[in-house]
Amino acid sequence: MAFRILFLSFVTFLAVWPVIRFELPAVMGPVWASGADERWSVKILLPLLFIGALGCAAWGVPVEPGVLPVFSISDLPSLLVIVLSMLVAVSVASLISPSTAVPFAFLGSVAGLRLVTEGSLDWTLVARTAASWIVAPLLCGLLAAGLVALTVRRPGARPVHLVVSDHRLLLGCTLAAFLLAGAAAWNLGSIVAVFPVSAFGAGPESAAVAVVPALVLFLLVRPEFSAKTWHVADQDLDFTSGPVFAILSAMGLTYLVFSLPVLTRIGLTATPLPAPVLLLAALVGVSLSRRKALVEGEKVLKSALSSVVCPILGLLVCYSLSMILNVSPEDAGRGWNARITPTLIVLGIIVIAAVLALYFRAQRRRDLQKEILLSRDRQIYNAQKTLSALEVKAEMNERDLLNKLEIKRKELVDFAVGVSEQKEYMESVYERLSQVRGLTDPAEKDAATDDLLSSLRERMYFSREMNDFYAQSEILHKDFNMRLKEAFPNLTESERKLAILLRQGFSSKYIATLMNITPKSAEISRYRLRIKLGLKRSDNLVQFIKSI
Amino acid sequence: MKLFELFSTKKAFRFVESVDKLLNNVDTALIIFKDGIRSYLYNDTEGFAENLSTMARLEGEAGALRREIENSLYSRGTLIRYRGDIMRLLERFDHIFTILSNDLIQFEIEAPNVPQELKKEFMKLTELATTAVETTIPGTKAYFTEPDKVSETSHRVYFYEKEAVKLSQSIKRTVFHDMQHLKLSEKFHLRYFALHIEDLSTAAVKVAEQLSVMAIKRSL
Repeated sequence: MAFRILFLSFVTFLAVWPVIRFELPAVMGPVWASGADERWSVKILLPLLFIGALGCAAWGVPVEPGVLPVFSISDLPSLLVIVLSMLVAVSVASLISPSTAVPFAFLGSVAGLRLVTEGSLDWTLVARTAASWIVAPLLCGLLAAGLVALTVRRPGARPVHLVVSDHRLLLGCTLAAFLLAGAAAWNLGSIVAVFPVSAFGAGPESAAVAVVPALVLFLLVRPEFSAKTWHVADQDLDFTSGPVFAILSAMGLTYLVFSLPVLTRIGLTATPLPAPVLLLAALVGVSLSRRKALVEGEKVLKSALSSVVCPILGLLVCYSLSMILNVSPEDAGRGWNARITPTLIVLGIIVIAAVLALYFRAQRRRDLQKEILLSRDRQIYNAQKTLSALEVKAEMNERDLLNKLEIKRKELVDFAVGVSEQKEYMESVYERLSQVRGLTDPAEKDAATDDLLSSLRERMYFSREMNDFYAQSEILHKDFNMRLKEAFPNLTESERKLAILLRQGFSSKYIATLMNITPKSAEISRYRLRIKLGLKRSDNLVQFIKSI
Repeated sequence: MKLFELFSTKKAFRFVESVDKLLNNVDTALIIFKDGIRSYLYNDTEGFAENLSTMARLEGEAGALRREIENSLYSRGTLIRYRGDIMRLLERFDHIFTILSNDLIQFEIEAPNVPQELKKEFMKLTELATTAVETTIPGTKAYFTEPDKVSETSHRVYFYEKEAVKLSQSIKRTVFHDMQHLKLSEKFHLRYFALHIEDLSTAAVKVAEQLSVMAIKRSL
């Protein structure tokens, strides 16, 4: 018995998972969006109502006999097959659209099992159920559209203050939230009723079988549930209270209508309905009424496709699994252990496959994260590299500018000093010329004139300007001079000057003039420099110097 | 039980009253501001001091009202989609109060020397800036009752703000180009005050912009 309780708890656990993941956010999203649950009283009463209605449905208040089978405690393997098929169908359908239809997948799986156990299906019931699945979203959309039209203020009507109208809408939303919570729990409770919880009695044992797995699962998926619900409330329903009220009411009324047995009179049937599909239908209704697209067409189409895929896939998977596990009337007489063993083997295989799939998925995610991190690192590295290059460039520019500034400053100082020296020199020449004019002896006059001429020549060839030129060149090519000294320490001062002049692109003729030597001597100096630099005949001296 | 408070509209009406009171306070503060500037320009010292104290009282009242509205917005589940916007709007009005009060205090502390020929211009600038703010009050009321009419008032606010900017520029041009007898410090001082009064119209434009966005949001 204890094993059976555990087994049923496990099956319930598996069945509740998609309901909490897919169905509950679509029910609670509009409630959160309306702000109705901001009051503590509503926050407590709403879940109580939901659980109460679910409990009533689970403990023997069937929605409508016939749509769903009633399982006994000995049929647990079949129930597991149904739940597994539903999980497979929902997982595949959720790849198409997150607004998937869990109840449709469940009913499809039940149909698959019936096909195996009974050999055929009640096609009238199938047609009625399918019609109900089509009519329910249509009704929800129409109701939402109508309610939105009712909340819109007509032209010429007496203006109502926003606070007052919002207060009225909040009241409406709160009542609609209670309606939705109760009706949705009542409607979806028909799925829970399939689980033979009541077979364990009405005491704490059966309650524990139902509540504990649901509670554990809810706690496990609570962060995801909250995130999804907030997504629905903040992203999908990010508009004013009027449409939210319309959506809440439309969904609640649709759930209520499709939980009533009276539907059989009009050729439909009471059936569990998927909340995400109803939510989308209500959004389409609101969009049509307000002539504004509040939901993308692609999303609606994908959800419709997912809703079609769910029952078909559930049926096929359940039929195949049942055939593999031989869940047929002939096997009904077999013992519990004989029936449960193959089920457990299949379950084990599915669990291993699921674990492997999850592992590979997590691995892929990790790889993706690593790739993203790597690309970010690369971006940061490139940015830093560019930044460094810019810094170096800026530094060089600054140095260049400082050099230029230094040269200019020196030029200015030199110019001033030069002017003063020139003046002094001119004064001395003037004085000496005056003295020469005063001389009477021609020999003395010639000697004084020669002396003056040699002084002038000396001035011409060894002027300060020439030295300044070298000094400025050295400042300008400070780095070069340093590198040259480091690479070739045996070069003489004049050879270094020659190298600087060559680097600046002066020809031998100019170099001779600047260095106050003959062009021939300049050529010889070049030759000596080539030898000291260790150049071959084929090497270009100027290019080599520039490359230093 | 607090659930049954949902059926009572008493708090909703109290909220409406608070908002209306706050808007009335803004209106009164604008009148006091205009009167204060006039008193200063035409040397009515007693009147100016009275305006200054009235402004301080109004600012205090507005602050209390703002806190009351804020408390009401967040303690009750109403206006869930609008509370952020309404709070931002109230903050903008609070900013207007700060400008009004600060400007008067600065006139009192710094006592700028306004030449006789500029007094009329300064008065006109004050009129334009306060009219820009005044126009936002019916706009705000329209947002709560008939949001379609918000855009009508916004256009008027933009117009008054433009006129205020033009006049302020004209004052600055006159001060710097035509009044050679003024010291540079006096010129800067006058420009500074023209700028402060002009700020009022800029704040009004911000309120108008906020209202426009809020009106669009209401139609979603």
